[in-house]
Formats: sequence, C-alpha cells, structure tokens
Amino acid sequence: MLNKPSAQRDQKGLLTITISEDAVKHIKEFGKLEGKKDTNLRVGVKGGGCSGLTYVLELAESAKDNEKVITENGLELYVDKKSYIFLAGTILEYQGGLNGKGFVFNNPNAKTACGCGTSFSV
Amino acid sequence: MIDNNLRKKAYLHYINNCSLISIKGNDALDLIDRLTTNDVSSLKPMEHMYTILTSPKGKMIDILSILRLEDNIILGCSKDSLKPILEWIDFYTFGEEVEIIIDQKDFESSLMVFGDSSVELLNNTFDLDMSLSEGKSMYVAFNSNSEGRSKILIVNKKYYHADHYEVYSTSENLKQLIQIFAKTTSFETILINDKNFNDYRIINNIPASPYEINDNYNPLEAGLKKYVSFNKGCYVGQEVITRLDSYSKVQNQLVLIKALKPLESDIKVKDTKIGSITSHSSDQYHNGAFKLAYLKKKYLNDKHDDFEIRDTGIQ
Repeated sequence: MLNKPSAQRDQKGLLTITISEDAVKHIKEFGKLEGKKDTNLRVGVKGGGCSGLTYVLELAESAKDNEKVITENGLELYVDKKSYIFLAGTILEYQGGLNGKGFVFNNPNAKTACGCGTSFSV
Repeated sequence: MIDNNLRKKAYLHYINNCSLISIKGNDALDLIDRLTTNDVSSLKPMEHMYTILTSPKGKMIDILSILRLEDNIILGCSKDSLKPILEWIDFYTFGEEVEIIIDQKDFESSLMVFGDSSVELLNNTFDLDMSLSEGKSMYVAFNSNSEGRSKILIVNKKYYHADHYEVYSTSENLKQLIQIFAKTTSFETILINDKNFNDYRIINNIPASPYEINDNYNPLEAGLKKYVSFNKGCYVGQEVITRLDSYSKVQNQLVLIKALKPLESDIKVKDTKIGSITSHSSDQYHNGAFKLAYLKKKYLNDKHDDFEIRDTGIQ
C-alpha cells in the first residue's frame, strides 16, 4: 500500500508540487512505452477549458531555461514560473482501475473545477 | 448630373469606438480559440469571424472581430474593452508563442460600408469585380495622398443580421477614401455619424459593448448564439453556456421595445423588476421611444401597459 502524499514545502518553506509514488511509477511506464530512456515530467497550466485554466502534462527529458525543477520520488518535475503560481501546493496523484481518472491534480488554489476535472479557476 | 433621388445609396460609418490590434505567433489562433465561443481555429487566411470572450461563468467580456491574415490576426474590439481584454489575454497566456502589437499602423481604423449599393460602390471605386462572400476578405491597392501606393483590406462581415463591408486601413487613408466616395457621381454616399449609427443599431436590435455586451449577461441572452460553437470543444465558460442552452435555462432576452410612457431604467411590473433598459434611441425616433432592454423571458409574451415589444431578437 502506497503512502497518501501530503503537500510539501521546499527548503525556503514555500509550497511546492508533490507527486505520489504511484503517479511516478505510471509516468516511468509511459516513458518506457514511448521508448524514452530517462523520463521526467513537465507540468503546467494553460488558458482554456470550461473553467479558464487547463492542466498540462507532458513527458520531458530536460528542463527549459525558465523552468523550475522539483525532484520528487526520483522524478524531476519541470514547471514554468507562471504555472507554478497556480500549482504551488498541488499533489499530483494517479487513480487507476476501471473507475479511476488517471492523473489527478489536487490543487488547493482551484476554487472551482469543470465537470470533467481537467480545468479549474482560481 | 444625376438626380439625387435616382442615385444609388450607400452608407458610410467611420467606426470611432473600435480598436484594432495585431496578434502574431504560432499559438495566437489557438489561444483565441481556447478563450472564446466561436470556432476560431477553423479560420483560414483572409477569413473573418466574430467570437465572444467569456468569463468562466459564461458572461460576456466583449465581442471580438477576428480576421486571420497570412502571418497574424487582426483583432477588433471596442475601445473601452481593450485594456481588460489585453489583461484577460495576458492572464491566460503561459508558455504560448504570442506577440500582441497594440499600435500596429497598417490597419489602425475601420470604415463601415453598408446598404444595397455597397458592393457596387466598392467595385466602382477600386475598379474591381468583387463578390466577397460572408467572412471573406481581400487586399486592394490604394493610391494614398500621404503614403503613396498602399494596401487596404476589405472584409465582408455580418454582425447579427446586418450585412456590411469594412475597410481596414490607416486613419489618413480612410479619410481620403471617404472624400473619394463622396465625389463619386454614380452613388449617393451618406456618412452616418455615431449618434445616427447608434439609432440604426437600436432600431435593428443589435447589441453593442458596453451597453448590452457586458459581464452582466451571457451571449445567449444577447441573441448572439450564432457566434457560439456548440461542437468546438472546451473554451472558457463553455460548460455554463452549453448547460444554459441544453436545459433552456436562459433567463433574459434582449428585446427592442417602444415606450408608451416614460420608463425608468429598471422595468417593473407592480413592484417586481422584470428587466433593464440598456440603450435609448435619440429623439428623432418617436421622441426616443425605441429602446433596447433585457427582459425576463417569462414576461416576453405578456401585454404591458408601459411599452410594446417590437422585436425579440430570437433567431
């Protein structure tokens, strides 16, 4: 049984982005399926979706110049600075099984979310 | 000399309350598509579409005129809305490749040409054989006094139910063009000022920003459903707007009314508020009796002592 993660803070005491062990496991598996040797994850936000802001997830090998790097459970998360404002404190989990939703963002900044959960407003 | 009564008429309106900005970048069209109601991503170069910028609650921020050119988009909006629109776009821009040029010089102003003879007037003036269908645009060469030979844009637009052409160019070119139109002997060109144009739109039940198009109402209430795509996928406010439409939950309707007595801004039946007046025509129309108002839909079919409903705007 994997531990339920909780929001964590960085060395400066600021809220960071947390990713569960189960989510990391699935990201690594997706990376293998795509033939990538060293898989990491780019997370972000973009405008759009019913509620205004949509989550972005993308397999990545390295960070871009303007991105913050968060290392969590052996995975590097790359997030641009503007997206980070909306994602600080988020716990990224994976819900598998027949009724699971896949990757789920538990984002404390989200005041409302659309029906399908892929977009949110702050 | 042609008798004025026999000359064909075309109407010109220099659109003072319009800002035209340029948006460049590979993600520009996709970003506007994600933030607005219409299927902007389907636009091909030289095509035009109206779309509505909506909040997550489905309320209107403004209606946008989007003209896709080869390398950029010309976005038109009301002058008063430009600042909030730019802030809105900036808020929702993350890593996208988008560059906004506010003071672009090529197409800084717009001249509206409408009326039955508008096509003939444009063809005659520019020596064209133009038959642009709705939403299409074309470049036309123009000999400018101040800039030499330059390019202007002609766009066939249809706003609400009003067909018209718009000519995009510099302010100087458009002033010169108005003079050229005025000198043509085959047509009587009538320059419509802001006040008369406002009367025209009110009589035709055409909503405008900020009077009818503002964040108190949604596009369906304003009769702007034709600028909402119900199959394009997600955009900001989509879930609310689709739900309102699917479950027939639209509360208000923009209507043209004729006042039979002086009316307050809030329209009441006994002590119950049933609507709000948003625009008043000028005195030349029955002493300003024609007005636009949002009325609660359940009162649309009632007979009212103080006013008559002349057009419900329902398409």
